Amino acid sequence: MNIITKNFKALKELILYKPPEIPSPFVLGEKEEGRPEPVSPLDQIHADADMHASLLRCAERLAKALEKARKILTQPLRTETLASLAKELEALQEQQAQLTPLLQAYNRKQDPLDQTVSTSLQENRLMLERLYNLPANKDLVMRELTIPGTPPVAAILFFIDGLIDKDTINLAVLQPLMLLGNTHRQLYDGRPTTRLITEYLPSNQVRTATTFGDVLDSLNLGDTALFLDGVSEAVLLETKGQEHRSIDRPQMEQSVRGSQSAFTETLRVNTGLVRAILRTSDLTTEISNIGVRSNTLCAVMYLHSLVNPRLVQEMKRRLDGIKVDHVTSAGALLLQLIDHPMLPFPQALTTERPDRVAAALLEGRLAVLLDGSPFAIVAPISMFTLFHTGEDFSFSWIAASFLRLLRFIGTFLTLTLPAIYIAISYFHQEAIPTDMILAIAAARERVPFPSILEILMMEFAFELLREAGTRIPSLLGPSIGIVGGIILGQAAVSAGIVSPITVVIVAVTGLASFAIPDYSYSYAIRLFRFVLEILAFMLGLVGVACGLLALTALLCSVKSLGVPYLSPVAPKTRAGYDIVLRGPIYTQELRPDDLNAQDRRRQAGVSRQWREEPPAGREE
Amino acid sequence: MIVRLLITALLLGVMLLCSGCYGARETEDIAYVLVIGIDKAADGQQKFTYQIARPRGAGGGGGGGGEGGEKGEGGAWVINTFTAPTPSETRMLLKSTMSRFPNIGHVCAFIIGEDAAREGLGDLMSYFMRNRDFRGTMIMVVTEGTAEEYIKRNNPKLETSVAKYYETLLANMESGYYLRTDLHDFYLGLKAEGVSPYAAYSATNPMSGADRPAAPPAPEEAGKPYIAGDVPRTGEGDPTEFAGLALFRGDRMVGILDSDETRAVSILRSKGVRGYVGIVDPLKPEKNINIAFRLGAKPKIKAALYDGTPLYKVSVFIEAEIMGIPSGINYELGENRVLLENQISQLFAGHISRMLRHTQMLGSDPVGFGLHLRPQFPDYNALKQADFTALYQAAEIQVNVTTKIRRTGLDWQTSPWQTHNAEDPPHD
Repeated sequence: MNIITKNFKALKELILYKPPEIPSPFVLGEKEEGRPEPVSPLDQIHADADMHASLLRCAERLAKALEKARKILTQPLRTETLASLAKELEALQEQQAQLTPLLQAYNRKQDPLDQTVSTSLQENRLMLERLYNLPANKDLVMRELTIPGTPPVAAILFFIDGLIDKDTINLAVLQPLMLLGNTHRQLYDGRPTTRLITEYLPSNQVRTATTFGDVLDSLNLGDTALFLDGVSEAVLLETKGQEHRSIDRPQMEQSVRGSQSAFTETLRVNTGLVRAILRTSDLTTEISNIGVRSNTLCAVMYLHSLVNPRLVQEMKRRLDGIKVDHVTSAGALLLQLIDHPMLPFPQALTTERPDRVAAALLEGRLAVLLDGSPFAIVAPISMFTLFHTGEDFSFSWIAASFLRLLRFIGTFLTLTLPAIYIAISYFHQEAIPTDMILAIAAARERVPFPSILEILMMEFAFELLREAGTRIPSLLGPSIGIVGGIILGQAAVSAGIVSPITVVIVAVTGLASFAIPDYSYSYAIRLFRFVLEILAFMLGLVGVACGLLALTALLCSVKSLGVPYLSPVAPKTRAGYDIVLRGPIYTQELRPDDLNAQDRRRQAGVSRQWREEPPAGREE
Repeated sequence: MIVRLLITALLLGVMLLCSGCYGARETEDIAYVLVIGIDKAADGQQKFTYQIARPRGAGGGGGGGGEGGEKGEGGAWVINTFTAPTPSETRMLLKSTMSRFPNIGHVCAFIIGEDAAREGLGDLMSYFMRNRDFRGTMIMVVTEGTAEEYIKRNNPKLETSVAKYYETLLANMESGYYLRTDLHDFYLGLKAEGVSPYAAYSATNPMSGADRPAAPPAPEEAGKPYIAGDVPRTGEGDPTEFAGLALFRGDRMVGILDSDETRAVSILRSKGVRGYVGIVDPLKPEKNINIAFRLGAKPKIKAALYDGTPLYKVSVFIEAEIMGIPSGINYELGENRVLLENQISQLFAGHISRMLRHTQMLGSDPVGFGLHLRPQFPDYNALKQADFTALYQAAEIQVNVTTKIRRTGLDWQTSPWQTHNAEDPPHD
């Protein structure tokens, strides 16, 4: 019995699975809806402790000051030491006033960003440490120093590593503060920050701030904040030195004759690129912050004497009204700004070319640039703008008009070619020449699928190729093209999955879609193409016509920043030859009518006035 | 808002599902009828011949199938003949012979046997015109013998598709030896007062080389007029040929014009005639002169009505170019040129007059002289009561042809051949 039990137990030990004894894995707990987070009594205790600690620190300082005063008073009296003592005591008094329990309790309830800078260096340091979550956060660097003078002034520098230029801080901030002065400077004589700024700091942009909100904004941009003991102001020094990409060639909007520079990720470089083209005081750049948590800089650029002021107001209203944590890119910002976010059609132009932005500003449009995004948003636009490229005006008007017509034809083909093929092959066999219908029928003899499925399959393959080609590492790019082009097309035909005519239709459609200059417009057109295909399959050419009618109606109702999307065609307004065709350059006398710019005319009635003068050498 | 959107989406969906797709057919589920032949059958029935394309044969091979070949195996088409009282019956019977649905939207030619045409086409025209499936551009051809036999024997050698053959042939008719008529033209001719319908005349040639001219040539003419089927030729080409014009009086065929008469109709109808003609040398009748000609202007027809008898004055202007003067006589300049111009004018005037005599005798007006007469009636009632056939038969028609030699080919002036002897002095 005993042996059996023993053996059984031993066997059980051996065979039965026992989970290893490790702690249970991490599982993110669910936040329970509706139930408020319990307020820990500790929080209140910590708050009280903070308050008492600061009072205690104040008392310590007071004690130190009294000790110092006693020392000074025991020595022979000197006016300057007395004056500095008076200043110090005044500062203490001010600090004392700030530390009344009532005021402190009020401050604590306030947003810490609205709090004013304290006269106490210690308080300010603690405040910033609290705001930046020190010591966990290693980005904020604190540099304590003493500025020599009579009396010497304790100071702290704050800056964020990675956003600043170290050389600037060493040479233009620390060096003049610590070394270059003499001990006779009297900072407390008068307003200390003003003296520092005007006499001692060679930094190019310096200003003062009184609230922590301002201090934080500057620090986050790469400035350095200087706090002085006994001064309720911070000095903000320009020391920006973030690493950034240099100006490169345009990647998406390449041109043969146009300029070869594109925007980069840094806002100020981008605004500078535009200003380099439009060197006028009229060009206004308004900068604001977007993103409650990210504080991304956003610039609105316009020509002040040209643009319709209501457009500027509206754009600023919309920008101010965006309440999000973060705007990731110009594309995301665009989606927050547009009138019809449910439509895939781009309602503003996204461009990476400074010359296009400049040209648009000169027409009376607005440009919005976002820090960290190499694209500018141009609004308002009409749909026809999306067919233009930056270099249309670099070619003869005949060539440029031809190119533009090609783009329009390409768009139309992208939109309708597969749908028309489907409609005709299903419903209107009599509408094409006999030989062609026989050729189509012959090609389809061995194909087991209906035409609609064939087309949809090939288009899906094409879109797949396109997406894969975009996402693939550039080293593999060419091979995807070969795999897609040769294997899919040729093999699908010889395997009898699709007919050659389908491959031709889809290839022509795909090729035509590349002729659409604007990427997102091309996307919208390609999406709507599928709708037309289904309509064509169900209703034939009537369906295609209905689809096109619906699309036209839809586009007629769209507005881009309040300007009709199809203007100057619908509604009909006065239009120059720069819509579908591009007229000769000297006929481009008026700006687009739909923008209602302050100045309608953009070149003289006779722009080439040399034609009315005698030629060189015959001035008699 | 959401409810309204939902309702709209549902309604759209229902609309699409209710209306869509039912008429849809895959291209390869359809049999394309290319030619319809009509013959008289016993007991007042009709014989319909359908020539149906085989896409693999005509279309030149499908995807990767490797059929290739000139016409694929088994020929480029299938021919089926049915006898039934009405054409609708035959279409149903046709469906029973094949898996695919016969589509008549691509019919390009309508071949009518001569017997059926002489019997009258009115009943059929009603069906063909009213039926929306038929194209108005389908051409009308009257053939000698039966349409069934004609369709079977017509095997174009240059084109892979018979549709292409008919379309190309009847688009290029500059010679004027045959005239294109499509279904719609024929129908208009049937309806209109003052013009008679006509159809192209075609036949298969026995290829024996036998010379069977339709009429003796005019005194100025080197060649002879022919009617399709009688052209003296041998060889391995397609035995089908087009020459002549089937004339109709009302819906019944009454006669055939030969090639010269047909060209006269083409000239008077201003059908873009241009071509070559051989004429007898006016000064040396044993030699011929080759002339290229074209219509210099649209022919003018002036009509007048005297005591119920119409009088027409026809003036035709021909532009000619000398293409060869075997006699070596200098026809480029001076009186000789006038002589040659007159010879050409006489030739065409003769053709036109012969055509007019022939058509007046048959009581069919293919040129449409009656159309020019219509303004001469005092009111519409008088026009409606007029018997245009009788008027045409009674009409007096004066033909005046003028010719101008515009160019002389590549030679500006004829030089005497070096081999010519003294008894044949050059005429410079």
